Amino acid sequence: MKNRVLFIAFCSCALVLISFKFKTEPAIIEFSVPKNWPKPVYSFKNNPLTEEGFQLGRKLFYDPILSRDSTISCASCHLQYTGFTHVDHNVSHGIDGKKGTRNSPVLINLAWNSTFHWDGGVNHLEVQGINPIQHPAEMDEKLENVLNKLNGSSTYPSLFKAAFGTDQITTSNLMKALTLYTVSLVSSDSKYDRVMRKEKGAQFSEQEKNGLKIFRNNCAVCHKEPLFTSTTFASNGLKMDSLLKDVGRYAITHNPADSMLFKIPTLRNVEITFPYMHDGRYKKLKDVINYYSDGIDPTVNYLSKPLKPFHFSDTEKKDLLSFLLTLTDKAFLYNPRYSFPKN
Amino acid sequence: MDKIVVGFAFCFILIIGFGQTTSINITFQPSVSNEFIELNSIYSLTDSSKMEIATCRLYVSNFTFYSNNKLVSEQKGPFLIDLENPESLQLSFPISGVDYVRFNLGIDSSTNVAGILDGDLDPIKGMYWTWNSGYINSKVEGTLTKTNGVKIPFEYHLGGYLPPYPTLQTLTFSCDKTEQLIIQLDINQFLTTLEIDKCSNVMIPGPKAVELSNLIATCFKIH
Repeated sequence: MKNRVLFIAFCSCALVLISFKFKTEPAIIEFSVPKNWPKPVYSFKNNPLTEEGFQLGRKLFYDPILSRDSTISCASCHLQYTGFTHVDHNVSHGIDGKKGTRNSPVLINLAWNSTFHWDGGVNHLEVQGINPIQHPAEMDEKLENVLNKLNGSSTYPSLFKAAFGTDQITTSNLMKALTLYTVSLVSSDSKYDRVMRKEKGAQFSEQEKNGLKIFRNNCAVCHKEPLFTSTTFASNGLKMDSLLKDVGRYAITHNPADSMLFKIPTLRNVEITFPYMHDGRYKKLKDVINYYSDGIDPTVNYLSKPLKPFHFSDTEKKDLLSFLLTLTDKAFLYNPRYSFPKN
Repeated sequence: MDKIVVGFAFCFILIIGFGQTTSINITFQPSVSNEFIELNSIYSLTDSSKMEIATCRLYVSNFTFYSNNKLVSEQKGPFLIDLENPESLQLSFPISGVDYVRFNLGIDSSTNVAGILDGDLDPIKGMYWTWNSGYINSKVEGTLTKTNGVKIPFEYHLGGYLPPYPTLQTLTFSCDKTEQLIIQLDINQFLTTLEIDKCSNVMIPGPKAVELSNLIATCFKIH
């Protein structure tokens, strides 16, 4: 009897110790790479993916505490249901209703990108988030103030402690937490993906099949499968907006060859990420297809090779559109794991 | 008696041994000609204009120490030298008998692409460009008052690591086994050479940042 009591006592002590161990060291989650996809660019080496880190990043992403007057969160311009962009806005409005100069980019499959922003000026996912926080037309807040607010809050220090082992909130663990959330936004479950994986019951219609053929013959050089972007830069010949005067990547590199080049966006979930182009000038997907078909001016000197007007027939346009709609990933857009944290 | 002598000798050796410096102190001192400067004080330049410095910050990194033509020690850093924070001006390295030291003025390209970093490399230090990711290698801000009374505010944020406009500089200084090396940055030489009328601010990477980074590198000298 006495032995049994001792045994139970020993076991409970062990359990308590084990649970303490789990409490202090968050468990690593595996970042799962969809089948036949390339290796992600983001290395988790200095920022291991953990549930605590992901959940903290998620909470921060949805928290307007990051902005000067607590009105704007990351989600203000990057809404999950619309592919983490700001639909219906050619350019987004941030703090005090101020407008930016570019269409809010989607946050999809960021782990496979080595540059960020339309001009590729940001060279690492971990440092990207500082931009919207400090931008005078977005959140317009100083990093020092963000850290003071977070360190002084009643909830955040313990969440950082759980995720990073310290309740001292710094630029580094703040940005790492945001990264763990945004890097996890993987869209790989569209109809296209299910067909490619040869899943039972998944198949393209004849129209979608034709559309895929047209896509592969014309668009896939830049919008390379399976990410639907080569993640590099190109010019599709769009004329400069006379008010925005955006020179694209040239502003970063000062290389004349980079003038008017913009980052090639992914086409995943393109159905619902309108409006389109770096300045959001096209409201409808069919406007975009029409531009590539007949709108490109082949004499524009910055037009990237081998791009030229494709001159699609009406049927080809419809087929291409129907294929593009197969890139919509409802499982991603409505995944509760990515949505506003209720707790 | 012999024992006492031996005891004294032992103590003497011990004291000498402990007293011996085994480090080299390198002090970075912004100056006007040979005069060390302080923030927000007015100094006369050789062209008779007056100058006031509001900010002077630099990164120094990747120190290598050579003795008898052999590499004897490396200290990566980086270290942020900030005139506003006097303790930051002096660096101490645990090595002696150095013939010459070599280091970078600025942050190397691998550090520039390494993501978010802590300590002196925390972007909160105001030495990081977020929209065009990369560290500002040196930052000099202030006001110049010309002899005709015209005030010219200047801001030089020099950085950029991508080709064809890398701004990292490598400097080498002879130490002659000294324990105290004072390296001054002659702001007088910098401001009187760069033609402030034509260019009073540089805030982006590019050819001008390269030109002024080459210039500022020539303004470091042993005091």
